[in-house]
Amino acid sequence: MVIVGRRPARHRGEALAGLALASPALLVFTVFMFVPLGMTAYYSLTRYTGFGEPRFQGLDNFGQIGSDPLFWRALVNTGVFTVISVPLSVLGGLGLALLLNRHLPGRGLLRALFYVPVVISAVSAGIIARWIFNENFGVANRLLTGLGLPEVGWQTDGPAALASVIAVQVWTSLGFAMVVYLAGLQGIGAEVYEAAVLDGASRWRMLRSITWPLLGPTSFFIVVYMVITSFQVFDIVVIMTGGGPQNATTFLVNYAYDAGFEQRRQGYAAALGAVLFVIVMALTLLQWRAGRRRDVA
Amino acid sequence: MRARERRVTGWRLTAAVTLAAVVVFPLYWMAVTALSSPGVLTRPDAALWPTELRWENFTRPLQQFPFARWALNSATIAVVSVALTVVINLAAGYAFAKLDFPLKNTLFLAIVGTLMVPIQVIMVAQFQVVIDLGLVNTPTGVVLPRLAEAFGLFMARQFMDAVPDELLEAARVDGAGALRAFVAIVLPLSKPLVAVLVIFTFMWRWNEFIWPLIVLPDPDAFTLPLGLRFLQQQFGNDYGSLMAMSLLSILPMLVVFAAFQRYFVEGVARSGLR
Amino acid sequence: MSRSPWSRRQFLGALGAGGAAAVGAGSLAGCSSSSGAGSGSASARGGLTFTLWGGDEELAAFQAVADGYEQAEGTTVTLDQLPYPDVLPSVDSRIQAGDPPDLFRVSYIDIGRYTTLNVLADISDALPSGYADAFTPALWKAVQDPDGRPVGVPHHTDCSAIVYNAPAFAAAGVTAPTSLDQAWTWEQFTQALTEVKGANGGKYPVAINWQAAGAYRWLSFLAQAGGSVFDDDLAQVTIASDAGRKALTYTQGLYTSGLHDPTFLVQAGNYPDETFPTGQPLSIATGDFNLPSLVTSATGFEWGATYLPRDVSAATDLGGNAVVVTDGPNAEAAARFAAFLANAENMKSFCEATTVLPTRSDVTGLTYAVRPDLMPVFVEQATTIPDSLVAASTSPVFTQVNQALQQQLEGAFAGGADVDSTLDALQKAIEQALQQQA
Repeated sequence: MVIVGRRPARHRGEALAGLALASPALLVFTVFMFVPLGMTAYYSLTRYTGFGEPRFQGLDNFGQIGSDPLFWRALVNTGVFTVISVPLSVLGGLGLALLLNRHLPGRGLLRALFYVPVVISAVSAGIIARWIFNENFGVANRLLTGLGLPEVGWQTDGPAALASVIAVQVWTSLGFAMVVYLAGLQGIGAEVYEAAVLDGASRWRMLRSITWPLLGPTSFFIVVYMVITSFQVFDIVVIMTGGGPQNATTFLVNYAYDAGFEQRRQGYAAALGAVLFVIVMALTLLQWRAGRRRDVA
Repeated sequence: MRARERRVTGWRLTAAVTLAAVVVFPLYWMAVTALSSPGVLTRPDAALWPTELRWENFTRPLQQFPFARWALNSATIAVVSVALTVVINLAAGYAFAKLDFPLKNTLFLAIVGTLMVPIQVIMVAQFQVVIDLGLVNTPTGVVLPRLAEAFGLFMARQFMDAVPDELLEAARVDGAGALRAFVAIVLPLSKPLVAVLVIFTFMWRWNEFIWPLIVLPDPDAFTLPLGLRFLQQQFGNDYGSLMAMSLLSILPMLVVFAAFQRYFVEGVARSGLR
Repeated sequence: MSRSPWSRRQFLGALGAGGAAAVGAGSLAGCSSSSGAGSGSASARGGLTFTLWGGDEELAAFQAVADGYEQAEGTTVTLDQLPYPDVLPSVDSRIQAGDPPDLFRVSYIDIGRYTTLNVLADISDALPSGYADAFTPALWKAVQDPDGRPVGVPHHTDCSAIVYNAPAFAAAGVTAPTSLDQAWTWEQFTQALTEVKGANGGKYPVAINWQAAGAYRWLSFLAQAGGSVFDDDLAQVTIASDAGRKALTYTQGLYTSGLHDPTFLVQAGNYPDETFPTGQPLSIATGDFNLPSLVTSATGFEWGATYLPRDVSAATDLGGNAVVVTDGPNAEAAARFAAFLANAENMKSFCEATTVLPTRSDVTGLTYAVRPDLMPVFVEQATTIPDSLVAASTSPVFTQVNQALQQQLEGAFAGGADVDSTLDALQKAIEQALQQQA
């Protein structure tokens, strides 16, 4: 992703063509990304219900955010959710890809089956999950008791509820990681393994010292993508748990939506957006640097 | 050696089938529920397979709610978004990868910098923009703001970057301008990229929830996910009807996926995603 | 492969779409991004738009009134149905966008934030003289803006009582009170529930309807203990009091003693009346408006109704809804429809069909469509809605009070957050809401 000037402008025609071709993108990004970002910065300094005019109040919103225990709870929840669900999805996807990369009867069908949860909407997934994890009648608890295990309080126990949301998130993203890893594995030629086979290296050793490093760029992409999506998880929570029990599944984005559109504290919601922006930018920088280091290595 | 290999394949197959069963089970259970009477599945001794075919779960909500209209709204939004996203990102991807123009690198960095910015950061302000443009309750109000998504542009530029410069040079030696080279050389090569953009964009827009939730307050303008939540709140514990409607809502997505699946893997492999 | 699939026209079309957005951006810079853009499209549609939620019976009853109005006045009224939790966000968004519905349904607990916002229309001119006199004064006051002008009509009221699984109660030998003055005390209630649980294989004997936006129903227990959210002139927050402590200790105890079904907490919007028909929980606190849906769903066993328990006094919550008129081009016509909707005749038929209580004193002798045998319990229970609760419920900050309750009660009921810190947090949150209001 290192960007350098390709060559001196050949002539004005090229610059014009470039601007013309890029202008639709520049236009939508200006109107629907950069202008709103600026407005967010302004709103974050105001008290605004969405009706009438925003009232400037300096940094009050940020003070309130800092002293709101629910914000910190949502931040921790989001972090825990991301830290658990991303590795599960990435490693699970890699496992499936390795399983299905070489010849196997019904391989095409199996791949498709693993991918189906990816294409259904998070709302549908949430609706299904809410039914499955229903504490009284859900099939999840019935299967558990059928196996002689105790019932789990999916709706009343905080960690269990968070686990159920993570399970749904992993369910809907496993197949994506699998497909991208399959594409990555296709790009590794058989010849790179030949020397290792001659040396009598074990499968596990080949996986660790050949496949995994060669999949580096793929893993990087998947991790970036998964972090983006897990940071934005909203639909599943709204449908499944409403943020409960005891805010155990309240994430930053749910918290911000509630503030802005349920409680109509739009200035406060904008301030939350600004905080979220800073967090995301820090993460982006971190990942970018990690990516660079990997490119160098 | 062969026997060993066969045994390994057997193990792999067993593992894959078991995992697939786990992954597919929720969908299976959705189908079972969609065909069962209310109350049947809440009994502790209820069977794990369908014991009846209750089509009323499908027909009753279809009569009662404008499901077809919601589906049409979703389809309109998804299709228009796909078309615009593909056109905008192909053009911009080419410009940023192969052409030189003022501020190019700065602009690209600024745009790619928003790659990870979730919609929740700007939703309050963006809603205000949509209000000012008079687009509340319109499909346009859902479509336009979501075009500003760096993901497609990033992919397009990466893909175009991999197109050899020599190909373009050859065309331009023949006297073709930058635009002609784009149309004649780059576009025909871009099929895998287009496939990826189509699938991703269709999937995202078809399934999107939060942004339509904000922009479309009127139930007539609802998309399917909004409609599903409507039904969830309206039906309460009538999971049969709810699952029936969820099932209907995911069918189009499955069809699109089935049609494009081949291109998808190929597209991911060739579009610089890895 | 030689001809590319993209024509220049398609390409220009895309540019045009972007161009339209650019024009928008220009106007954005021009106008100071305030509301008020996009003048009402409602007037263009002809007729009135009415945003509401409702069960099947309610919608049918509203439709009947709308049809009657169209016949009488020639004005069509289009009902825009939404799920209950979505009505206010939707209305808010449309108000912000300058395109509100002409009328919307709003519960008394949410009406306060609209009457103070200057977004509703004064409907005095559309009311026949003496129209207001027939209404319960406290509820008529609820639909007035701070200057005393009516902005809508109190359409009906309702309240919660206990609906119980009769065979399950009989199995325990428990007889439910049949008149208000014999209503169970808290201790008797606990006793009865314990016996019911014991006689029914440990099934949970009760669930109260304080889920999601119903969190405020906990205030019934506060009132039963003699407490209130505010003092009389709504200036001081009085929730952290002895009565508050008593009420929270008791209600938390319902959970910790295993009487209250633990799957029905506060935040997640799953409601006890949805699972009562499956045989658990064995009794629920529920509003009279739920009777029609219970009649269709709870068919497997007999069920009856009795009063909420009492402590220092009996009390129940202020349920029910008003219909208000937004300030827009159709305000006059909408006001006339509102007056029609709440006239004696229409109110009576609406209440009869949907098993809710009238707000007019001249609506009497109702014949309820379902379970007329149980309605007297609710009618009598409704006399115990405390004035302090009516005043608090209809105040502008009650939305925040309700949100604070949702947040804090969840902790107390599920996690065993201790009573005093919960009350302190409630007190603080509500005080903060009051300050911001001022």
